[in-house]
Amino acid sequence: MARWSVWAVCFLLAASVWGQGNSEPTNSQENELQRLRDRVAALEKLVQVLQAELAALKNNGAAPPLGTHLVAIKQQADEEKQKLEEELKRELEQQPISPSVPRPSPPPSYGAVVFGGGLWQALNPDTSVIANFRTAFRGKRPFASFAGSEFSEAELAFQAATDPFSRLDTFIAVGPDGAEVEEATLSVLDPTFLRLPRNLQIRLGLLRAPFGQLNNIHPPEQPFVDTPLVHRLWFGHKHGNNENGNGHEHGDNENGNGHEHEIRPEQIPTEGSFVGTGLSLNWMVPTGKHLTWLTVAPLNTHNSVFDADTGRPAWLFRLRHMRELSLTQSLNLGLNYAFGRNDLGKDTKLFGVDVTYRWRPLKEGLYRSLVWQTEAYWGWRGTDNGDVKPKGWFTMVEYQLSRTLFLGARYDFAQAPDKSFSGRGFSLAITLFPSEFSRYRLQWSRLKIGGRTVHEVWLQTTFSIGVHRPHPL
Amino acid sequence: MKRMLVWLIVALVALMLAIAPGAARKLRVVATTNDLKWAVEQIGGKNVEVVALMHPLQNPHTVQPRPSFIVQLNRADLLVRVGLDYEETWLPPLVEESRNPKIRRGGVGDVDASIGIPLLEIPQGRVTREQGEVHIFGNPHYWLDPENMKIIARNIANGLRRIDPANADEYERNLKRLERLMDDLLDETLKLAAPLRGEKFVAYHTTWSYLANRYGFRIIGYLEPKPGIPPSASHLADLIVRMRQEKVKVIIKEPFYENRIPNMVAQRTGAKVVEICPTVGGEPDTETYPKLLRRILTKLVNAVQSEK
Repeated sequence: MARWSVWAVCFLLAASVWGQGNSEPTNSQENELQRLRDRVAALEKLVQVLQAELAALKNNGAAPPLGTHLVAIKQQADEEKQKLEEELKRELEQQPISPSVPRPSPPPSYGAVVFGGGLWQALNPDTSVIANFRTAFRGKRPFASFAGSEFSEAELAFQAATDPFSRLDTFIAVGPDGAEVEEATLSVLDPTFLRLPRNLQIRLGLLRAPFGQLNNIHPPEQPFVDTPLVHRLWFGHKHGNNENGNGHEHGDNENGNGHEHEIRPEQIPTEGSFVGTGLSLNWMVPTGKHLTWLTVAPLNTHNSVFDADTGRPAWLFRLRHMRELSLTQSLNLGLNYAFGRNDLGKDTKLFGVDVTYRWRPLKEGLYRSLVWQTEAYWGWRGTDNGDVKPKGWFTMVEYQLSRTLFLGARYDFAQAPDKSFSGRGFSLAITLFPSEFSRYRLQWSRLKIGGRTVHEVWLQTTFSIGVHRPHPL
Repeated sequence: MKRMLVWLIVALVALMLAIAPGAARKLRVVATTNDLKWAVEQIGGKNVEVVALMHPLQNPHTVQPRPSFIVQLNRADLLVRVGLDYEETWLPPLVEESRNPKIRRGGVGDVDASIGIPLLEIPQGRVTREQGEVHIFGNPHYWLDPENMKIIARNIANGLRRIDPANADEYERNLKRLERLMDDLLDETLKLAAPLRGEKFVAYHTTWSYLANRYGFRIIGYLEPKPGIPPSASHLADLIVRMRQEKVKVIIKEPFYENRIPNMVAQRTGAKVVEICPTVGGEPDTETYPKLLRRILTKLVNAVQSEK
């Protein structure tokens, strides 16, 4: 009897526990079921509506062939369209498109110059070609003489991650004088595998020198057809070969007497970039909302300022600080210092400062932006008769007038590295971007070099095909 | 004196041990948009500290990076991005410059929210620039569909679990809750958007495809002739004729596009221009995703009904 009682108690307990365990879930499951039932009912209705729509569409699809009255209607529509098109053309040409609601301005930011960019290809490197064509008129008056057209260059770019730690960027310039590797850089993006701190970035190869802000940008993507005078005179071809192949030795005034001598503006190379082979170490320090970078780069470089043939690399130091002024504005400040040897085997030093202000409004960012950039350089060039101290600077502004139109102005001044002559220039450029991948530019420049004045009118067309990564900041 | 010193050290150690768990820092998450930020907050809860890089009123295709973007990315444990090629013109160089290997593509802290999304408008055949700034992987504006928000949330939960497995259960619970919330939101908004079924619209850009697909309306044309290409007179003339034929009464534009051309088209077709921000926080009372969706649909419904 006692055993039966025990079994009965156990059974009752188990039943009650089972009952409790099941009762709560039953309610919640019921709710969930009801919710799902409602949802299925809603979806059923949706399917019915869609079926009805589909049937209606199918009926419309079986349209009868065009009768004469329909042909007349079509003609009428075509005429109406043509009339409209003309009317819209007139209206679109009246004023540039701009956001109709003026905003109290916070303006822009700065940043990545994007040309092409944006696509991704599995394992293959990003490959692109930027073709740059230029036509120049040059003379004492604008359009005085036709200086000729030229296919300036095609820049071939191959860019890809090599592994999880580094990437390779190679740029090859192909021009009338042949092909030249413009930049080939291996960037170690994750130096932790070398047990180095992660905020350190190492770059090796043929690099654009960390000196100034504009020098980071490849010439075809800069806001003017030519690079500023100071870049052309100091970092252009060492011997100043002009486009016609007429050589001119800048450095013939070795005594540094600073006398202006005979030089024609067309003898100055159109472009100049400070590049060199070596190593760059870049340390990033985040400070609140702002950023500071310190870069040290020993580079073998051959230009009118430094000459690595003397057996010593140039050492470059750049301190860059980027401040966020607001959601739409930023300021970039740079201090640059470099020392090395010149072609006379004497010590040469360079000091430079650069300021870049960027503005792009939030809402109207597609239609408005402004970039103002100024850089100034001072040099100490050793000669047998003491130091020559050349200087050079430029200031330029580019304002975006509409979605596709940009207006730029630049003033620049530079002395030759040996101070044998000086030049100054003023340029105005208007640039049309029909899309991200093509660009048409008209530029007028007035140059005064070594006492001679010349006007230049440039027409430039630049096209990009393939995948071109956005430029770094 | 020695004894006091010992007690002092013991007390200090005890204090440090006591405050250590409380001082454990939150996970730093960077989302590229406010919509993703909202989703991360729902899944991560109190364990995360989230910032969004893009301003909701910014055109996603023309974002110009600021220094603070790099600072945020440098410190991030997790980066949540829309993916496809949505941020491709500005994000990759910033990630590179941030020197944070965790958030580089394929890194433990990299979350591509688009994984698993049933994409619309995937280009067929050979893709060329002739097609404009075409999105080569498909339309990336996928978040305006609550069903897709559930997939986004799942991707985020997976990312959080990877970097913080200790709280994996919590993330799973939050995910389930968000999925239920999205189901309810879908039921609610399907009813709200019933008047939109079968309606035809014209839009400035291809931002609204997923919304139209979910709620049963059609975008019959765009002011841009091709993605990213400015409107031309010829294209607008075609569009106006079509709008008149199909009796389209509403033009949808985002706040970051100009008003002149939509107004020009509206004048000639009698249509109404409705400005809608597709991102959380771009307009008043859209600080959460459900509020954003309700507001967008309410605006469209009001516009359709006022034109009838």
